Formats: sequence, structure tokens, C-alpha cells
Amino acid sequence: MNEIEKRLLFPGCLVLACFQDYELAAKAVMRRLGMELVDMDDFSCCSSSVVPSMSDDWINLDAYNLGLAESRRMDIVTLCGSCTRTLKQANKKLKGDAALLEKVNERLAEAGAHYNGTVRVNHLIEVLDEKRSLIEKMERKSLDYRVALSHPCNVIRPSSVAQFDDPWRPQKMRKVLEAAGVQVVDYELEYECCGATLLMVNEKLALDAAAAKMRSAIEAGADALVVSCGNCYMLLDRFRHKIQEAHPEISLPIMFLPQVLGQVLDVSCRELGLELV
Amino acid sequence: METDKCSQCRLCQQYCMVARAGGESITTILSGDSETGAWNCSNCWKCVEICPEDIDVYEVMMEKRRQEPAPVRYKRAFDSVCRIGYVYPVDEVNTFREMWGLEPIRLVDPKVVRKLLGRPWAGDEE
Repeated sequence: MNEIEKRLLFPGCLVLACFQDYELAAKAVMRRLGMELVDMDDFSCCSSSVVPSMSDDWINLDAYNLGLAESRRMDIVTLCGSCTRTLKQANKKLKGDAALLEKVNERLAEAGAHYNGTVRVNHLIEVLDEKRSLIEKMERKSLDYRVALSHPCNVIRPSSVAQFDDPWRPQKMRKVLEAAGVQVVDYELEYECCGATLLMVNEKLALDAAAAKMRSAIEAGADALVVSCGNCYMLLDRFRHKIQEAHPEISLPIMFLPQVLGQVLDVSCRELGLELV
Repeated sequence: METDKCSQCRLCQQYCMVARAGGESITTILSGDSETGAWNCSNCWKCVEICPEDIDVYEVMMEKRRQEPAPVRYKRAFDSVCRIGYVYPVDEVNTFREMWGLEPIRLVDPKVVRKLLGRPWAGDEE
């Protein structure tokens, strides 16, 4: 019997702290598709856009995390946009610059870590896209709702780092869901940024951007908005009360990609984080 | 300098959601329309993607940020990374994981993170 494929799950601290349902659902769906997402003990902050704003040592954090995966002989799967981009960005720099890699390893050595540059990083959408033909062949349940998509900016841009999908009109998330028979609706603001990072500096602008995007999806006939990044979910779902203060008519359920896919693949609601144990 | 390549085409500004809303951002700094705004960014990367001169607008923005005092939420987030190794609070994480039926996870030793960032605290070496 073939051994099940294993990859290391880099949850990121936002998913770790707030969105256990996303992690649970991602693990359950990938298990159904023949892949085990293994917990990444000792992972640290990905550096996000926070650390490089204050320190040019940010790359050491990513190198440390990549080194952890390397020591466990596994590639990394990510769940958020920023974690994906920053890990890929660091990986590209380190793989392409031997002098930088050596310098970073000097610092890593002080922390008892090392990185040789052998790890691959992929966001969940990419991994699901690899399994698309399998999804098409699997027994599937049909859903009685239609979804619109919110694409995680940092998974597709910059394209020189992402090396995945169209950077302006990304299609992979749609292709994965359509392979599963999910009805996906187009909407005018589909390819606009949700604005979540602006919560750090200009809450009103973030809330207005979110409201416009949600209104556009509602007008196009979506019953739910699908995200695949904790930051998007944070703004669109957890700031719902604030969005509704200014726009009380806006009401749209927000779901994580594997929660929708898992329903099609008949994974239980408990395993999808749609009900507590 | 990276910004010397800028041809002032303002494409980045047309794609920047902050600039389009009338705000200051790295794209208005590049065009000379403002001196501030480096922190006002949605992290969408459209400016980097669209730039015909291949300017690494993100890196230009980060260099500018490192020379300025950080807005309070960025400062708090960075302090949190130095204190606990993460931006978001993780002290109850394994309790939540158990509620959801997830296995416990071992968190990073914050001393490791401080070492990686070259920001040791008194007592870290003990």
C-alpha cells in the first residue's frame, strides 16, 4: 500500500489563534484527498508585513520556519495570504543568493537552526488544484447554495514570487470548486482586495472596501462568500457588526474554502468546524 | 536608488485602493504628491505587479517605514512578535484546539525569535 503523502501545515498565528475551524476543515478535506497535513511544532511568526516594517532581519524568521520543515523532510502548506507570500519571497531570495543564505544561516546557527534551501511552499489552493482531477472523479453531494469568491491577494501577487495563477484574474480557486460541482457566481468586485490589512491603520477604509465587495457579491446572487485567508475572514466576518453599523442591509455568510469543498465531499460538519465537538 | 527608475507613469496610483479613495500611500509618495503615507497599505501587491519599470515598490515602502515611527497597531504587533513569537495572542491556543478536536501544538520559544531578529532581552542567555 502506498504511504499517505504528508506535508507540514504552517497555520500562521491568526489561524492558530482565531480560526481553528479553518485548520480543522483543511486537514479533513486534504485527508479525504489522500494527504495528511502534519502539525508544525515550534513554528514562529511568518514575519508578515509587520516585521519587515520594523526590521531588515525579517528574512531570518522565514528561513527559520523553512529550516524547520527541511529538518522534518516535508514541504509546507499554508492557509493565509501573507504567510504564503512571505515564506515564498524569502525562499526565492535564499535559493537564488548563496551569500545571503550563508549570512542568514550564521544567525540561524545562534538559534540552533539551519536551512539549505530545499523546501517548497504552497498555499492550500495550490494543493487543491493539484488534486482537481481526483476531486472530479469522487462521489459528490450537490450544494443548495451559490458562492462568490474572494481571492487572497498575497497568494497570487507578486506573480514573480507566487508563480501560480493569473495575478489579475485568478481562476484556480474557481476551477477547484467547479471541479467539485459548486456553483460559482461572477461579481463585479471579485478581483478587488478586501482591504483587511488596512484595519491596522485606517479602519473606515477597510470597512468600506469590505462592504462594497460584499454588496457586489450579494447583487450578483451569491449566497455565501468563500475566502482562503484568515485576514480576509477577519475583516469580512469578525468585523461584520462594524460593517453593518454603516451598511445594515449587508448580510452574507463567509466560509473558508475547505468548508465548502468538504460539504461537497460529504465530510461531517464537525470535521469541517461547522459545529463544535 | 530603486526609485530612480520611476518614470512617473502613475499606474501604481491607479491600482492603489488607498490612493483611489483619496488617501496617501507609497504610490502618492512615489509620484511626489505626498511625503507621508507609507503605512497606508492594503497589502494587495498590485503596485508591484503593474510597475512597468519593475520597481520593488514593497521594498521601497518597507525602507521608508523603517525610518519612521510606527502606527500603534504595527508597533503592538511587532512588540508581540518579540514577546511571544507571534502577532496574535496564543496563550489559550491549546485549550481552543482541544475544544475543536485538534491535537495540541508546541509553540516557539520566544527567545529563539528574539535571537533571529537580533533583539535579545536581558536574561535571554541565562
